[in-house]
Amino acid sequence: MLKKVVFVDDSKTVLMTAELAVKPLVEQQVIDIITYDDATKFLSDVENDFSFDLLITDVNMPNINGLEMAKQIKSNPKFMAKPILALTTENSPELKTIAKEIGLTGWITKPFKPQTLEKAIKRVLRIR
Amino acid sequence: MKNIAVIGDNKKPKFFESVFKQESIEYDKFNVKDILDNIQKLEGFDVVFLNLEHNIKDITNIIKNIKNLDKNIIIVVTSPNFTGNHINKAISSGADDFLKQPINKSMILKKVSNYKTLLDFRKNRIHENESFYNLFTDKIFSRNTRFNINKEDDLSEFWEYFILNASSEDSLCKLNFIFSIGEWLIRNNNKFFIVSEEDREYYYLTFKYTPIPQTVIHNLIIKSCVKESAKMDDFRLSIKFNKTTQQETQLPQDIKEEKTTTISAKEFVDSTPLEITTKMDALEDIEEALTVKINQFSSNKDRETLKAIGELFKEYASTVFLMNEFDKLSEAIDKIAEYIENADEETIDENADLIVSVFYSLVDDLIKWRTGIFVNQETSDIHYLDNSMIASCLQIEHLLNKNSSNQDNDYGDVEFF
Repeated sequence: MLKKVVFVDDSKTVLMTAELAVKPLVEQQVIDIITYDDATKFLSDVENDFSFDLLITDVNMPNINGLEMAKQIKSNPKFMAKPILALTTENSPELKTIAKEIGLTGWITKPFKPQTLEKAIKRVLRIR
Repeated sequence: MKNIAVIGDNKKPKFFESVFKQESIEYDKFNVKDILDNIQKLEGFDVVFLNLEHNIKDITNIIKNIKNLDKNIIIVVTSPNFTGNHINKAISSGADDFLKQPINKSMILKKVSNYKTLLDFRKNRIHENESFYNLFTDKIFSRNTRFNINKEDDLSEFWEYFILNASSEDSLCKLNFIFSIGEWLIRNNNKFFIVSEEDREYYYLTFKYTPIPQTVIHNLIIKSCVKESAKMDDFRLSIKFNKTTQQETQLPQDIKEEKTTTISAKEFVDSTPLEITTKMDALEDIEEALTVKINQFSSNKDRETLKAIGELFKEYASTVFLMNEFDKLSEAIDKIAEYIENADEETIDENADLIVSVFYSLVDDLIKWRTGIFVNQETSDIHYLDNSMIASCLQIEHLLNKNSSNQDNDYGDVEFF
């Protein structure tokens, strides 16, 4: 069964490059990609029964901080165990500590190598 | 009349250029790119008029380069797009004057006459001075300041007088060294005074004391930060200080550029003058022009349209730079323009469709950024796009150069918790 990977980033350019990076996994019919350039839209979909297997989110976004969004997702028992990765230009230890406390699975820094993103997804979703 | 250079980035003749022509004042004209490529072209000029409309963000570089070439060149900055912040930046980089536009003819002529007087003064004021104290040169300004030191309080007064102007760690170290020597002389009941003199390049602080064995001072000098800039004889010790002003470049790069506070769109718009926020209209126009050109490139895939897209991104970057707070974003957009300008034919041909998609998404990001901050004012952090845009540029470059060495760049770390 296809695993559903959600990317949330305010930048369409980042979303486009992320989609290109994981294209091989999509072509192998291992994952399905859904992108959101508006975090509030994603939150509202999540409240309306939308589900996912992995969330990859930016941190600095115009309307809501990605970590704040992750906290809200994790507070919903339905998504408590869902893996979330940060994909961001931020690299501060303080933010990483907050991310750990919220329960994020990992942290990828931008710009990223396509292979890095692909490997991270495979590892988190246990895809061989 | 002295040699005048006019540097501009607009092909249309400017008002003051036509004034020069009417008054038969000779001048040479250069474009910004020529000067950025070869600053030596300005060698021998006395006055430089820097008239920028588009390349405003290059102003600091240009001014610093001119001053490095010859610090006596008078730099006059003029731009229709300048704000107070740009004037401050220009002046702190070394510009001598600023002409606010619109400029009238009599004002230009008056200014030119003033510059001539100033140049004459600059060239003639240094002369051999018979009553100099320092051991480096007799070609100093006629003024000096003398500090009579009889006790430690006098020495402290001297130190306090100069410490405020210490422009670098090196100056501070030299001043502390002078203080130590002064303390030593006081302890040894030596009668002395310190004289401050200067020329264009340096300040000279000279101790004048009753004769002491040179070896004592010499041993102190060779172990200190003044060893390269001290001279002594039986009666005097002179130390020279560079006259460089305190530059913000002395700050570590990461401290200088770090923006520690988060500014919301509403706070930014409320605290920014209307003349700056209205530049947003210009951005909207450029976005529209970009969309038209990208559509065109999407069907033609021709080099000329690509060049026009690059120029529009450059114009966008310059306008963003004028908004005061967005230097980083401006730099990122400029990088994109630069990449487009320098991309080779093969890369473009092979990736034309990808380039079109990239352009569309970049313009979408910029429209969203502009409206989020200036129209809807709903953005909680106005800098949210800065780093992301820089990262996107690198990401795009990486995508387009799949076979280049960029692929081995050490970036994109992943850390699992």
